[in-house]
Amino acid sequence: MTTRLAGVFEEGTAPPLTSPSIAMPAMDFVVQWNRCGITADYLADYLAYAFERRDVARSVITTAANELLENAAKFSSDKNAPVRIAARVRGDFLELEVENVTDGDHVDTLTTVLDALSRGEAPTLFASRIESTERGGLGLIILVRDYAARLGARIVSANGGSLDQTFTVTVRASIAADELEQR
Amino acid sequence: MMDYQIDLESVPSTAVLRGVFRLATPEQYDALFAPLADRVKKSQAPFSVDLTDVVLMNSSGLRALADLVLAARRAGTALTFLGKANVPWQSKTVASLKPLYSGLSVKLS
Repeated sequence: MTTRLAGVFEEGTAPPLTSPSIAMPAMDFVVQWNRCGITADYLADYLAYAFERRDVARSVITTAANELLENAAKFSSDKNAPVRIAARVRGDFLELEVENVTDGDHVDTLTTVLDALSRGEAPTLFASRIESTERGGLGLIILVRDYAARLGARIVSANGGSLDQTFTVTVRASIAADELEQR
Repeated sequence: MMDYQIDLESVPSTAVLRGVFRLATPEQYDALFAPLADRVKKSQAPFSVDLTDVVLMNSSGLRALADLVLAARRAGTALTFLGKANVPWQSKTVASLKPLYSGLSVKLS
C-alpha cells in the first residue's frame, strides 16, 4: 500500500467545533443523482449554524460539497464502495473531505489538476476549459478561483502493481470563513 | 417534482429560470438549454437570461451558461444575465463570464 499527496492537502490544527460525516454507496448517487444535492444541502444546513451570515455560508458550503460529491459519484470505479463526506469547522476554516474508490486514469487527471491549482493556475485553467470543446472538470477549478479553496488529495493505492489497480482518494477543500460568508 | 423550470413565455426576449439546477451531465444541459441556444443563434435581437430565482447551479450548469455566451458571441447577439449580488455563485462565477464577450452584460441587483 502506498500513499501520495496532490495539491495542497493541509489539515488545520485547531480542534473542530463540529465534525459531521455521512457515507453511502456510490451507486446510491448514480441511480438518483439528486442525492448529491440532498446530501450537500443537509451538510450545509447543519454547518451554516457555525457562521454569522448563515444564508451566504449555506450557499457556498452546499456549492462546494455538491461539486466534491458529484465528482466522487461520477468517478467511483467501484459503485458498491462507499462515498464518504466529512466536514470539520476548525478555527477560521471549514474543511470538506470526500473519499471514494477510483481508477488510475482519474487519479492521473485529478493529480494534474490539483497540482496546477496549487501553482495558482486556476484563472488560466478556467479560461482554457471554457473555450475548450472538452467539457467537465470545472467544479474544482471554480472552488479554487472563486472561493479561494485550498484543494488537495491523499491517494492510497490499494492493490499496487495489478492491472486493475484501484485507489482510495480523499479530496479535501479548506475554505476560509471569510470566503464562506463573502466578507 | 421538477427542481427547476425555464419560462420562455412570460417576459419578452427573456428566459426566466427558477429553482435548483444540478443536472448530472453537460448533455442534459444541452437538451434543457437548446431553446435558449437556438434563440441567440437565430436572432440578433438582444436576449436576457434571468437567474434571479435560481437558488443553486452546479458547475455543469455554469458551463452551459458559458456555452450560451459563446453561442451569442458567434452570432453577435447581445446577451444579458440578470441575478442577485448576494448570491455567491452569481456574483462570483456568473459575473466572471463577462470577459468572454463584449456583448455580455451581467446585472446583479
